[in-house]
Amino acid sequence: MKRTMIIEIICALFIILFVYAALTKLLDYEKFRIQIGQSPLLTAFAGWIAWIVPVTEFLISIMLVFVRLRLVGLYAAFSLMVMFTTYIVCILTLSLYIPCSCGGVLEKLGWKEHLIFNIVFIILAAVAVLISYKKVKPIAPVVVALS
Amino acid sequence: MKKPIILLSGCAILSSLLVVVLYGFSNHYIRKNNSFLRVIVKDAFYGISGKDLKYNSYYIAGTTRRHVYLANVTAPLHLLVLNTKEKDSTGIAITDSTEITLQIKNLERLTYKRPRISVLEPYFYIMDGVMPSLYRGKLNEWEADSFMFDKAAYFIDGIPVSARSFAIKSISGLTNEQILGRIKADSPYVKFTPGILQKQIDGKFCTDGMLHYDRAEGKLIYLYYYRNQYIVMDTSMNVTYRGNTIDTVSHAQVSGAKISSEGSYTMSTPPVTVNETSCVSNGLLFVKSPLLSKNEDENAFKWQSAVDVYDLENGTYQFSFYVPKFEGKSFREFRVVEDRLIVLYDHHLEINELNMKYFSKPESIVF
Repeated sequence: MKRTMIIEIICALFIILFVYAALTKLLDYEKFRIQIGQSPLLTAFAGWIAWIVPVTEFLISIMLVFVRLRLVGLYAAFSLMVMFTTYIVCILTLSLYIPCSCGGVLEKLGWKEHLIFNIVFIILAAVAVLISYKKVKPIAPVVVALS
Repeated sequence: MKKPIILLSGCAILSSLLVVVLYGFSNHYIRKNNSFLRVIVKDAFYGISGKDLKYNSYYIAGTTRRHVYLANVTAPLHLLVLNTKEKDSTGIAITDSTEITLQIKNLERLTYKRPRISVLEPYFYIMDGVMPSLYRGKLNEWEADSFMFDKAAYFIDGIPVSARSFAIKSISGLTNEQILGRIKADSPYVKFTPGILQKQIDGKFCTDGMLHYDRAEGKLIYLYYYRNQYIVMDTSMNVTYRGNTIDTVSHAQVSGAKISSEGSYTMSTPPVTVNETSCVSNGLLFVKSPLLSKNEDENAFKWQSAVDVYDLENGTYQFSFYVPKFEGKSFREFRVVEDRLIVLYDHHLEINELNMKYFSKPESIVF
């Protein structure tokens, strides 16, 4: 398989994942905001995060659509998935109770499946980033503004 | 090839750090309430027996000195009875267990939503407050019969007080707030007693708590989850007095919100739980509190949980003791029966013997 093809597939997967996750959150925004507030980790920032998370997911999806922005998008996607995963690990190991507000069918995943799912996506993003360096020169040095 | 790897690791480290810092902040914010003192008793009890239950869905339906009755939320008619024998010469009590499937007499169709089993010698009760129904059967016969069926009311939590009466916590149809009441065999069958629970925020979450019956003293006790107060009542629900737990959270810190797409009312922020779980025995109130006191080490709750003891006679704080965690998990429920401390963990049960020099009522304890 060609490298570009692999990158395209990975980007497509991310776009599907993020658009789906963001839509399910925004479609029932009221519920999502409350669930975020219930999280022992995010209580104080619930109002902000309830907006930032779906908007970021959309932005990354848009970046992944355009070839010029793809690399930044992949870095961003990678960072976001790392954040989600850290969140899961924190919640699983440190917290008393474990809420979830990933949206849609993702909510039905158990925490272990969730962790594996996330790690697979982190690896995918890393792979896409690494192989896109091999052939095509990156557009410009990238600063990740998200984290 | 070096640059992307560095960049990726940079992203990974920064992102995970951000989340960890967020966590640190909110954790600090939850735990900061500690301007009170605990008197810790180190030799409050010693372990005598433990049992692996395999499932984490068990709850304590009732206890006597010889038996522990465990019911299961996922198997409503299953009852696990643990028999504790007296200590043998080696000082260890051996526990054996019997699994029982409860029968219900004359049952055409079993309709239940949230059945809970409760044991008060010599009976066991199956109570459902969502699909209101009450069943009662004798211990050792294990067959329940419909009981005061037509007099049942909706309730959130109910406990048997005598063979023919229950104390319940329900939602008032008038105010849509939590209310305490009684179900009795004679008229008026269901009687609510407004005014016992005092609304601070929404009357639903802010008044939530645990209902206990101290059979030895004939007292009903209601302990709030989210504020430092408990209410002592007689069996007709006349308030004897309102007592305070040692922490300083006198005003509940909860907030509720409606999710219209689900038609539900839920908490919108994690509540500050003051009293996690509790039990009463022989005029003493035992409260598991997740709040660190001023004189406790930061890491005091890493391996253990604190239980505070109050004398219900006059509402005074007596002392506290630690109960160790099991496999990293704090206990879910506990009971005290005479000199036995029964502690239910995730999927494990421990039976301990209390050091009665602290727990026998009449003499006052001197430190």
